[in-house]
Amino acid sequence: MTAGDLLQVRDLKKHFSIGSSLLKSRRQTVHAVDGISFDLAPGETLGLVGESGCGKSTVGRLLVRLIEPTEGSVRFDRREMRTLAGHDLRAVRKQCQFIFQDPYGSLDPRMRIWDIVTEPIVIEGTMTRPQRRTRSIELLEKVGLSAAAADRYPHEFSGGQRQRIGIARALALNPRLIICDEPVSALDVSIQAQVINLMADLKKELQLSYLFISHNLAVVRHIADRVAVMYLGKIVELAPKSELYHRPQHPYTRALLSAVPVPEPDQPTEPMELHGDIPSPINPPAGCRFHTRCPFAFDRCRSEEPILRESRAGHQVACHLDAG
Amino acid sequence: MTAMTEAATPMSSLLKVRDLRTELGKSDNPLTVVDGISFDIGSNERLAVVGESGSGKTMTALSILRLLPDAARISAGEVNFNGQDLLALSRSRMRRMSGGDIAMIFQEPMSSLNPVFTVGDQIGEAITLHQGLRGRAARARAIELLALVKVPSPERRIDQYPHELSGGMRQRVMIAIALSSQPKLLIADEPTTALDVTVQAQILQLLKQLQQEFGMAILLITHDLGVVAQFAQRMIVMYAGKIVEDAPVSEAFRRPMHPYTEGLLRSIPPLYEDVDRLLAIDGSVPPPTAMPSGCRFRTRCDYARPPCAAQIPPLKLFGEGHRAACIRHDDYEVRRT
Ligand SMILES: Nc1ncnc2c1ncn2[C@@H]1O[C@H](COP(=O)(O)OP(=O)(O)OP(=O)(O)O)[C@@H](O)[C@H]1O
Ligand SMILES: Nc1ncnc2c1ncn2[C@@H]1O[C@H](COP(=O)(O)OP(=O)(O)OP(=O)(O)O)[C@@H](O)[C@H]1O
Ligand code: SF4
Ligand code: SF4
Ligand SMILES: [Mg+2]
Ligand SMILES: [Mg+2]
Repeated sequence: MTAGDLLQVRDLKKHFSIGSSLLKSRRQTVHAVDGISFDLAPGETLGLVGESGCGKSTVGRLLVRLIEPTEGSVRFDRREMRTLAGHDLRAVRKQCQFIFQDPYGSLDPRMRIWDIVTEPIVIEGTMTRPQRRTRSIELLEKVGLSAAAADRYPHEFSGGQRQRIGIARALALNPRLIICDEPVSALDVSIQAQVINLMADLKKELQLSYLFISHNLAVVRHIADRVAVMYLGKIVELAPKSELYHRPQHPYTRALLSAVPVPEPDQPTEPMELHGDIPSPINPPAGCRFHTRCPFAFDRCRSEEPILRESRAGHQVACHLDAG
Repeated sequence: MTAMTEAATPMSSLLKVRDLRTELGKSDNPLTVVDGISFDIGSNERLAVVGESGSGKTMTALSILRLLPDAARISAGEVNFNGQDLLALSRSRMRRMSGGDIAMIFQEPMSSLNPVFTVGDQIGEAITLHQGLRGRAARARAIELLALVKVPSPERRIDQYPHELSGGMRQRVMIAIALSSQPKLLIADEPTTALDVTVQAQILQLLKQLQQEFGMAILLITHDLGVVAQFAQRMIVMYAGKIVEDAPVSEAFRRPMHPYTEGLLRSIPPLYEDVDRLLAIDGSVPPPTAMPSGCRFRTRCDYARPPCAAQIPPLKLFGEGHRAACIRHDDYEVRRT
């Protein structure tokens, strides 16, 4: 998987400096994303999971250059994003869109739906107003809303409908990649399924790639082809989904899966015991970052950082266990 | 009013809610957010309440505790706790009751903890209020409570401020405060929704263990059916201000009697199985201004037929402790009895 890759991410890092800007000694560094690499093929969906604060949203924002990386490379369609500027950068950006978690906060309450949906086209300046209008109705119908929605305002829609509007807007410029940051987390279970089905249909129809960020492992399973598990700024395991769910190798992945409450009353879950809480990304533990909570940690884990390596075809793990 | 609703009474009821109605806004044009619900909680029972966002779960909890926001009021019904009519208690007696025999924890522990006081100050205050302990004795009891909720090194944590703790630790502190009064009923409104699965599992395990140890009842509000299956013994399903189903959890999961419950259970994405499409419930809850006549679920229900529009279906018994509000099973019921 190299030549055809849509996205190639190598050793990507983002460090945030926090604290007083005057007192240098008080300044601290948040290692939000600390050297991650992965590829994404056209039409493929990569799920990104992990606990709160592990850096998922930061990865998403780095990929569409909402923020600049501290280090590392992102290649889109084999072109290094860092070297792009002006027209070229805009052209690439057009092909990467973003869908946010909050279907309430992300739509301007004073704009009509058809203006919201075609806002990215206005910025492009390539269509007349009537053309834009036609396009908006096409987009709304694509996401299962009626043309009558065009002249209404966001407050007239339910959470699930607003998320559809957000998806329509993301589709406006015919992107190839959509970064979806917790797109269904704020929705009711009964509505979640509608939106996931819609996203799966659009993916097939339009050959879209998604980076699908979520903390819900069951939701990710239904949309992703491969899944990456993050812990404290690093990818600890990356595998095709059925591999990851049926043969998880990293102790953290196993702990996550074991903690999901199964919706079967007669089948008690037995969560794996993890010590303590997730450590701060300001001073991540030395060696394996998971060693403070890992039930299998041994000496080597405290001093040497395990690298992400292929343990089976397409299945990458960063753990010293069974690493020889 | 519909036929007198009968609660599926567990062996000994600690809390009895009867025809509770809670309204919002102007009294000449009120919005009914809890619409005549009746249910019981047994004295040692774990009950879960689930339902669509806005269906009235939090308003039900706040009504029981009489902690409603200013815009809301209880317009009818009865809340009987341990033989006492809570709606008839004076404000000051009620204040001692909520936070005393009935305690509550919320989704976001940060907003319920005061950022300028230490953990010890806040647990200590509750201990002084409910147990009359002060000074060193209160501090010792606070450390005991922190240890009980499995906060590591409680002697050190007690002098920390809320912002110095993780979300999971803050929720443990809230549970410690709630337990300080040795409540008979703990109401937990989405206590783990803001937490990660690994921490959620620990907190639920802790609540279950404490519930069994102290013989408390727990009313848990959640939208996660996995949590319901793992935690609760009985579940109540709410839709648009009404209870549509009330049943033992294993019974409701195996044999849901209300199409909304059935739809909810079908929409859960399985964790270890590939399915082509997820099954969803079509449409969404109609706004209060456009609520259909008769059954409120009928605009989304696959089984709807003309009689569903005629009247709001009352809750009916479908078996031991199993109630549902749907006329689809009328024939079924006849067969059973
Ligand atoms: N602009 C910023 N300045 C400083 N720190 C930041 C900034 N943005 C994010 N962080 C920190 O970086 C880390 C990763 O944050 P990020 O939002 O990427 O996590 P996440 O995995 O998306 O979490 P969640 O599941 O809670 O959304 C966190 O510790 C966060 O506090
Ligand atoms: N403070 C308030 N002022 C006005 N209306 C409110 C207030 N709180 C809740 N409501 C309304 O009351 C109804 C019931 O709300 P409630 O908070 O009980 O729902 P819920 O079932 O707890 O939902 P969720 O799952 O989103 O927490 C909703 O229509 C809501 O919009
Ligand atoms: S490297 Fe060691 S500490 Fe890290 S996950 Fe593997 S066994 Fe656990
Ligand atoms: S009463 Fe009718 S519309 Fe309502 S849930 Fe039952 S079958 Fe569906
Ligand atoms: Mg995030
Ligand atoms: Mg609520």
